[in-house]
This record gives sequence, structure tokens and C-alpha cells, in this order.
Amino acid sequence: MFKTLVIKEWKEKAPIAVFGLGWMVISLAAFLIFGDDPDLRELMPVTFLIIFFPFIGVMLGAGAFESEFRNGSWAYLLSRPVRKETIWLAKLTALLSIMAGFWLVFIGSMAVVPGLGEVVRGFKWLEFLDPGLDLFLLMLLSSVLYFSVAFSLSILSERQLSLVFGSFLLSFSVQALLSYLASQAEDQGLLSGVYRFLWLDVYFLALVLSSLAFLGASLITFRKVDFSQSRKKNLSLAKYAILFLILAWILAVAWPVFRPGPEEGLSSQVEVVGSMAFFSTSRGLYRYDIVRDDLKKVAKWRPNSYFGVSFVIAGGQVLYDACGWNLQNSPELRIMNTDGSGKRLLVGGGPDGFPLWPGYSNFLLSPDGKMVVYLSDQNDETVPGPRTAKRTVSIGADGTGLKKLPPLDPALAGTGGDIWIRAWHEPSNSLLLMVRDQGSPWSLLTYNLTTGAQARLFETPRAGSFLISPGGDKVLIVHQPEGGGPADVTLLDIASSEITPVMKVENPGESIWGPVTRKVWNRKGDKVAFLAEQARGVFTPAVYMLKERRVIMPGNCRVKEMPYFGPMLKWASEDAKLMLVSPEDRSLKILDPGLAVERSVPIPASIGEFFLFCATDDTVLMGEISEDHRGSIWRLDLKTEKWKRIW
Amino acid sequence: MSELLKVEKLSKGFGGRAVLREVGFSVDPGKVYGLLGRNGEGKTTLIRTIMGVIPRDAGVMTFKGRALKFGDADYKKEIGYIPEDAFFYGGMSVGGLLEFNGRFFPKWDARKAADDLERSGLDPAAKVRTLSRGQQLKLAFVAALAARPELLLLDDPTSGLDVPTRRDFLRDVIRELAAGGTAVLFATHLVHELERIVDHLFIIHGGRIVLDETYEKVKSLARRAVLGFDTEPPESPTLDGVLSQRRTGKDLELIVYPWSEAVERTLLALNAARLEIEPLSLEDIFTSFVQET
Repeated sequence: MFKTLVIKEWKEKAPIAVFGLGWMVISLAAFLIFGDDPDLRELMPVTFLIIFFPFIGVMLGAGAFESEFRNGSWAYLLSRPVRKETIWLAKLTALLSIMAGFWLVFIGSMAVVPGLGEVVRGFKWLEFLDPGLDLFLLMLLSSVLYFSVAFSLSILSERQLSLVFGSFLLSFSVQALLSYLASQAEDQGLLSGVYRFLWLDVYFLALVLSSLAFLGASLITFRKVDFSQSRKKNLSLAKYAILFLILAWILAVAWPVFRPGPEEGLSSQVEVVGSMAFFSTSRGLYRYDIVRDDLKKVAKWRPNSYFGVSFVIAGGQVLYDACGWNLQNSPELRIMNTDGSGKRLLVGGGPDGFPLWPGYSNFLLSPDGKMVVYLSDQNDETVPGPRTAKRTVSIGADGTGLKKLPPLDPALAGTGGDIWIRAWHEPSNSLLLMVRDQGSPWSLLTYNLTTGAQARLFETPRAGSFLISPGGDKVLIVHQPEGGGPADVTLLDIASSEITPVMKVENPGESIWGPVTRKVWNRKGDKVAFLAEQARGVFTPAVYMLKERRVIMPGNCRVKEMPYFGPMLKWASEDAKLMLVSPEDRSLKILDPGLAVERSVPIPASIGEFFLFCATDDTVLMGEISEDHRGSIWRLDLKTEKWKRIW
Repeated sequence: MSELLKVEKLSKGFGGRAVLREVGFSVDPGKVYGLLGRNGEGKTTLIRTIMGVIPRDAGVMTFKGRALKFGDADYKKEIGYIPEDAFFYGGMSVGGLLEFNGRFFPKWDARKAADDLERSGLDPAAKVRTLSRGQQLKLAFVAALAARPELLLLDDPTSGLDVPTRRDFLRDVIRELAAGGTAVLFATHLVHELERIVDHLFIIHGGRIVLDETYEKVKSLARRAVLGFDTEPPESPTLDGVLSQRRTGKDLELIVYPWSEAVERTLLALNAARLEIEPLSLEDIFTSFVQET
């Protein structure tokens, strides 16, 4: 019966199909004939797209039920032994298939008619709205909306002209309203925080859902309502259309919250505590037991396309920032045990909230894991990124004892620059803060949590010019004099403020990383390794032994290609050996205590942009992060030299 | 024999105006039912409600013992329906329409359709829109009967037809259907059409079924009594079943239903100089039931 009804509809609408095909043929012929004219070349197909498909959609939709009401055959149709849903669906199927036919003919023409596809795909007029705005998709969805509105309205009246006009008016109004709301979301409107990046997707989704809303209203009205009573018909359609439109728009707006999200992406942060490696992705925090080769997801969070989640680990606790779906308003600071148990919200929004832009870690756990400090900024600035802390706040890891600490001295920290909490110096119960006022060099400050005393340790123009030891008691500093010259590498003792010269590094070139890069402390904090530039673009590993106060740098192990960022040196084998990534021959070199290459392990080709994440006694973890923020983590067994992908 | 169609307390209104008020009746197979009512009394509404074209406000309907819900479709395979204006798809040919119609009905008898079409003199190739109203009605009957319905609902279909066509139709078609076991519910306001064919009468008035009786019984129990008095007629006698009364000079005319010996005794007791009792035509009976008092 369904097929019978569909065929009947096809036969009835054959004149519209012929008319539409004729229009298409004439338009294509005009394009072929006048396509050489640069003005007409784009104008003709684009105008055709914008006018033809909505028009044909309305013509088809408006004719769905109108003729039956006009000639009175609706009572005959409804008295046939066929369910109303079947009648409705048959009409929809038949008419939509004709619409699809027009689109297929047009798509086929784009493939066949020389130049047509390029013109449609290369359409630029709407780029001022969004570079990603696809005219073809826009008109496809618009025509479906125009069709759906006309299809729905056709159950109301037998006056075709009124239906066509009314359908155009209503469709255009709905689309205009959606466009306005979308532009508000894209710009500075109410929804801009959520939809800045997604407004076009939401807009397209809203078009589709609006079409479904009208069709849904039409179906319910057709099924339930007494068609002999116009008022009831009108009221029913209006009621359900409004209700479903509201639902459709709510769904469209809510979609970014509940969408599946991008494929799980890997962050570049890996922390190792004992034999456990922790790394975060766009969907959660993983704990990898290196000894047991056991991976466990210890925390889950909502996928976020744009920012990773930062975390710190100390005293058996993991402190991490979690942002909800609203990127601007709901970052939170959460804490849990390293096995994933005891998850709790530590700080949410509010006056003492944690409103920093997600992905910019600015919090710290005390070494015993019992105290948390974070920077709170209630400026409500909308510009993402680190910003001036108005307050340094401490709170117990159990969520009690929230305390606003004395403000930073403007003379030391400035008033409008950046502040980063870098380390916790346990002996003096001080924080090491990296601060910079606007236009000034970076300073490393101590901030005594007990007394509030603050002091500047040193200034440096480059944020990456120093590295604090694991215990927070030493700082390796690289001084680069302005205007060139050798760089001084020194060691600062926090407690005594004593500065020990380490070495001078000639500055042969203008390396973007500076003459000393990829600094890494060992776990005990008695050795620090780095790459020093020996000749222009040629780096060699060096190690400073704190106890012996000497540098080991044989110079025969060289690195000529440097990845843009990411760790290249890691300590292994109880800090006895150094691992070095050598990009030029895609190998991992294991250096003996004298920094001679003990052996070299090839890195598999399947690992693309690689980072050396961590190395334990017998195991190396290496990560790969591709440009689309996906990635993988690989494990290398140093004994067998076998690689295995663990994530 | 069990009921084919049963309607109980069926109500339907339009815009706050009640058209059907708790209507109830039943239809048995093989009988011809006349549904009489004035224009606008709800005959079409009742039939459309039965056919599921419009929803009911309240009430229960069963077809072959199965309760019907608005939206049900299967039961319609066993019901033929011919509306007052038999609109079809004008763009279809006569043959095409029958073929289209036949796909909905499992008992469709294509041979019967072809035979009836030939008898009706309709050209299978003719477009439906070119047919006269009478021809369209013939086509509607061909389509309805070829479906071999168990119940045929006729919604005043003959009102626009010429007398010979109506007569042929009534004599030939309806009686033939009833003889074959098909129940026919014939709604009309043209009372005389029913006189020779109807088995059972429903009269609908004021939204209610005011008469639900076999035609034979109605004919036998409806009487006009004219009492002639020498003086002014007395006040109206206290009498059950008086549908209407009229005073003309010294005469008192009463329409009574149902007539009984008790009624006759009561009238005799009035000592009228003259008492004439005569049976009523169906038209008189209908008029008496539906006239506004």
C-alpha cells in the first residue's frame, strides 16, 4: 500500500518534476553558453542554488495535501484501509525523493559540466560570515527546511497560493531568526563562550532539527486531528510546531555539550611517580604501571576540543583542573588519590573560584600532598591565557581551611602581568613563583607561605631560562646576555642564595631554543643534564654533577636536528644513564655515565612526531602527538629493545 | 447472528456544538438499515466517524466484536464507503482508479470490477475528472462492491441522481448486496428511497437516535388518528406515544407511535363523533419524528 501511495504521489507531482528539470536544463545551458563571462560565471549557478531549491522545496511541500483538500478527496483517502502514518510517510517519501532527485541531478551536473563544480565549491560571498560556510550544504539544508514548512502547512489549507506564500514567509523567518541567533553566538552574544568555535555546526543542526520539528508537528496533527475542523487543525499544527521548534533549538544549543567530541587526544604532559606514569588526554587521566605494564583510566572528564587538562602529583594525590562544557565559566580544581579513588571537587566557581583558562596549570600540591595553593583571578577577563593573580589562595587537600594569602608585592610582581606557581620549597615552606610585569623580564620569586615574605631571586628575559630541581631547592639558570656572547649557566641554591657557576656556552647561532636547551634534573636532584649548542645548530649533551661541581660534556655525541618542542633527554637506570632522542637517525641513544653512546635503539617508523616522556630503569615511554592532537604512547623495553604501543 | 457493527454512546461536536449525543445502535449482517435525518443532523458525521475519517469525542465502536480506535485501518478493508460527493483523484483514469483502489482491499474482485464497470457503461480509459456526477457515483459503487465489503456505508449518495438511476440502483444493487450477506447502512434524507428496501430504520434528530426499529414494526405501529368532535376538541388527551397533534376546526389529528390497543381505547373513550385511524407513510413517520415541537 505504501508503494501504491508513493507511486500515486509521483504521478501527481510529475508536472513539478518536469518543470524543475526544465529549469535546471535551461540554467545549465545558460552556464555553458555564458560561463566565459567572469561576472556571470559565479552569479548564475549561485543564484540558481539560492532560488531554485527553496522554490522547488516549497512547491513540492505545499502540494502534499493541498490538492486533496481542494477537491474533497481527503475523506476518500482517509477512509482507505491504510494507516494515516502510512499515508503521511508515503507522501513525504515521494516528495522528498523528487527533491533528492533534483539534488542528484545538480550534483551530477557539478561533476559533468565543466567549471560548475569549481564555481559552487569555490563560492566566497559568504566568507565574511565564516570561512567554513559551505553554500552547497547551506542551500541543501535550507531547501529541506522550506520543503518541511510547506509540507506541514499544506494540511491546513486548500489555497495553493496562500500556502506557497505563507511557506516562504515562515521558512524565511525561521531561517533569519536562526541566522541572527547564530551570529550572536559567534560574536559577543550570550552564547559566545560556548559556541565561538561551533556556531556554524549549531546553525546547521538547528536547520535540520527545525525541519524535523515542522514535520513532526505535521505528522501528529495529521494523525490526531479532525480534518473537517480548520480551527483545530491550525491550532494543533501551531502548537506542536512551536513546541517542537523550541525543543529543536534547545537540542541544537545543547549539542556542543553532549556531542561525542573529538577522538581522544593526548596531552604532552607525563609525570612519573615511582613506577607509575600519569598522562592526561582530552577525556581523562591515565595511570600506567610501568613494571606491570598495566594501564588504568583513573579519571574521566568531558571531551574538550581545545585544551588539555593539567595535573600535578605529590604525596599520593593528583590535583587537576577540570573544565566543564562552558570554557569560560566553570573551570574547577579537583583532587583524587593516585589510584583514582577519593575524587572530590576542591574549588569551583564563586568568589574564591578557580577561573583560570583551562589548560594553563597554575596550582600546586605541597610535597606531602596535604596542601594546595592556586592563583585566583576574579577579573572576569575574557581574554584566554594566564593573567594577573589577584589572590594567592591556599586550601587543605581535604577541602578545608581555605585561606587568602597576602597579596604579592607590586614592586616585585608588578600589577598586570603573569604569575606562575612553579615549585614548592619544602624546607622554607615557600613557593617559587615566576612572575613578569607587562614589558618586563621574568623574575623568580620566593613567597613564604608562613610569613608572606617575598623576595626576588633573579631576573631573566626568557621564561625557559631556568629549571627548578625536584626538591625545589636548586635552580639551573641560563643567562643570555643581550646582544650575543657566551651564555652563563649557573646554579642557584634557594636556601642560601648562593650562585655557583656551571659553565659558559658559546652562543654560535640564533637558535630559537637558545644555546642551552632541554634541561632535565635527575630524580635525586644531584645531576642536571642539558643540550648545549656547540656549533651553529649542533647540540651536544652535557651533565652537571652538583657534588663534584663539574660538567661532563665529551662532545662526541651530537644532535643536529631538533624537534620543535618536547623532551629529548631523560634519566634512566637509577639516574646512572641518560637517554637521548636523536631525530636525525630516528634512534634513542643510551649514554653511559661518561655520556658515550652505549647503544642505539631505532625508533619505529610508526611513531611520528615523538617525545621522550620518561625513562625508568628498564623502560622508556615515548609519546607521539600528531597535529590533530591524537597520539599514542609507546613503551620500549630496554632489555629486549622491543617497542609496544600501550595507548 | 452476531452484531457486525455496534456503536455505543458515540458523541461528536464541532466547535462546542454537539452534533452527536451518545448515539448508540447496532448493525447485523445481511440487513439494510436506513439512517434518516434532516440535513445537518449528523448523518455524515456519524458515518465519517465510523470510517475513522474524523475522530469521535466519546463513545465506543466495535466491528465484528473488535473495539475500534481512531487511526485503526484494518477494519476498513471490510467496509465499503460511498460519500455524498464521491470525489476521487481526477487525474486518474477510471481503470487506474479501480486498480489503485484494489490494492487496498485483500478481497478485491477484479473480475466483478470489470463486469460492473462494463455494465455501468463507463470507459476505463476516461479520466475521472471528465465523468459526470452520476458517472462518478457509479464508479464509486463499482469500486466499493468489488472490494466485497461486509458492510456498505452510503452517505446520501443518490441525492443528485436522476430518478431512473436511483431506482435501478436501489432495486438492483442494495437488495443484491443484502442477499449476499452484506449489511448496508444507507443514510439519506430522501425518505421515499428507503420504502421498498429497508429492513431497519434509524432516525437521528437533535444528535440522538430517536427511532431504532425494524421497518415492519415501524409501519405497523405508526398511526394517524383523526378525531372529529361536534364541539370544540378537548384538551390533549394524556396518551403515550403522541409524536404530534394538530387541531383543525373541530378535528384533532394525532400521530402516534407506537400504536397499541390501550391507545385505541383511550381515544375511543374521548367519545368523538368520528374516529379515523390509518397507517402512515415512511415520510410521515420521519416527519413526525423530526419536526420541531
